[in-house]
Amino acid sequence: MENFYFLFEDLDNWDVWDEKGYLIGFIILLVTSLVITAVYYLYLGRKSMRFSTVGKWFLFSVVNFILVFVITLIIEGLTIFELSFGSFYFEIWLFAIINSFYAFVFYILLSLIFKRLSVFSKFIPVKF
Amino acid sequence: MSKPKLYLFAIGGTGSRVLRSLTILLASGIKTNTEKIIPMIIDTDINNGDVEKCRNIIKNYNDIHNAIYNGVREEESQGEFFRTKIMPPKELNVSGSDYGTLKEMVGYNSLDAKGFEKTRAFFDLLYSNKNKDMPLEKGFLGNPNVGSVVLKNVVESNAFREFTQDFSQNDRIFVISSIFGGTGAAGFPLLMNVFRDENSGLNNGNYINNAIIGGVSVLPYFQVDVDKFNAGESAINSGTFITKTKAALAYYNRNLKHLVNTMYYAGDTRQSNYENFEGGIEQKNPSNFIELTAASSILDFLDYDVNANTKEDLQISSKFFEYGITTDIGVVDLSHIKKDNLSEQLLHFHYYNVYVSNYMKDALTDEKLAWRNELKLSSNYHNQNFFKELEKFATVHYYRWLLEASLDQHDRKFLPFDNSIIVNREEILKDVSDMMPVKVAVDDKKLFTLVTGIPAKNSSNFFKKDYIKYDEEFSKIAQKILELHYGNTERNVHTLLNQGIKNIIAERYVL
Repeated sequence: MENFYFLFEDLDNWDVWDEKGYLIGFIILLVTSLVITAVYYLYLGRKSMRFSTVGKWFLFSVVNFILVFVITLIIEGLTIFELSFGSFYFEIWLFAIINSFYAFVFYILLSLIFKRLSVFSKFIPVKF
Repeated sequence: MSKPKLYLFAIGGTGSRVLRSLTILLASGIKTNTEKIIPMIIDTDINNGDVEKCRNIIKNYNDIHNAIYNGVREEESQGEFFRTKIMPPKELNVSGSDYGTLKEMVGYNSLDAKGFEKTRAFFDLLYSNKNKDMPLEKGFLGNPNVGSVVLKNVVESNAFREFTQDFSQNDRIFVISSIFGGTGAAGFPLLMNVFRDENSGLNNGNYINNAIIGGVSVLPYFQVDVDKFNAGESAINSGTFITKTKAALAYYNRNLKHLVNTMYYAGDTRQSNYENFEGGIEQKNPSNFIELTAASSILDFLDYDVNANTKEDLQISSKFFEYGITTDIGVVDLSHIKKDNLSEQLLHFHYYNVYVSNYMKDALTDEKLAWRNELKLSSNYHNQNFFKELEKFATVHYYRWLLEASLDQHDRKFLPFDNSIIVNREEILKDVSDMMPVKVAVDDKKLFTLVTGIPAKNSSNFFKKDYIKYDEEFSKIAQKILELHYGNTERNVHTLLNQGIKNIIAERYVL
């Protein structure tokens, strides 16, 4: 996992990150992105055409970005490092931001897989 | 045995206008018990505006039909829009301008010769000087006695010869004519006598003699400006229509009733008011509900004793029908039409045309739209012929026909749909070319109130607004359409529109 999060470094708490911080972060990233993409393509994308525009698809990526950021921040800060909300240090904020950017990339990749299973959003974000 | 072909003789201006209404009915997907319809237009006034409109609409119809159904088996896709094949009209060439006047045509001056005194006297007895000097290029202007002489030449024309050569054993013949004018009133008895004459010497004469023959005779349904007649500006006097009709009906009763197998009479006591034109390009009467009625009689004829191949097979040798409506109202809408699939098909077709004219172009340019991509339509499909033809049929022919039928000049209007969606109404009515496209504007709310007096089911509530979503319905079924493996993009698009609109109507309307 350390290699996956190569953009992030926190030498002071390396063992905590290595033991569960990275893994939990990755699970948050994966599960949230999966849920958001599934909601977009498998639920909404089969129910109505209302969300079948690139704009709405992008909106869902922003929702995914924010959700991953908030969940990562809360889980890592409160549960993994057992800090109170006001005492989160910089590295936790930084990790949450990096995880959110990864979530954006994941959302795009998952979209390419899930879009085939949709009815109305089959050609969003790209046509192939 | 395969379905019969229908040879449809459309005589005079009324014939062409009924043919135009029939084309609209067939475009709406009414099922017909025929392999194809072969229109035969008989009109000495070759420049007649109604004939021109009729030619244009059939050409447009054919272009669409051929793009979709070329090579498709007869029994497939029945009930879809534009399904019945209509051949390009054959025009029986009896151009009045070739003959000049009746006098010139019969060689009246040569009757001065010795030995022809009695013939000349007899001719003078039958025809007034006005009749004899009447130019024939604009029809017979309400003089069937003149028409009966000139139209004899129809049977000598190449188109008539082709008809006799192509005629098969179980084919049927139907004749559309008006009874109160000149060309139609003269042409119908003449044709009937030719078809039933065992000694006519026609090709396939035996088949033609024994064919099941029907006809619709349109009784007076309009009147023209009498002032023009009184001022000598026009030879047409609608004041004589009823008298002529009575005389013709008496003649039909005596001489034709044993010749025709199925005869329909369509007429209306509520009259329309038309301008008084002596034929020519200016004679472009607006569509009329009674013409739609007459057109529906053709469909009825095709279903009449379907197992009979010749007149001998018929259970009843002659049958006569009259058209009637249950309520004498000034505005006829879908609720007044007999509850068979006619009103349902018109409803489907209207929603189809609304989509084609108002939404389809945007859909075809939407690169992300599911149904467009599923059917692998090219990015410039909206510029290709097929879409252009569909759009033309909707905007140039269909809406114009609807608009004309609802004009105030008709004492009985046909207003099945809300015509307020037509935004360039004034320009359309002034347009002399008849090719100006109708512009329509339909919003989400209007889609629920397109049908006069019958709103679509709307499940909007305080929390949720309901919409009629064409593209959503089409996208839902696009995959299924592909699984039909038609291998023809136009047929895929067309089937998708048919099926999708069927689903929308089933969800929104109970007729």
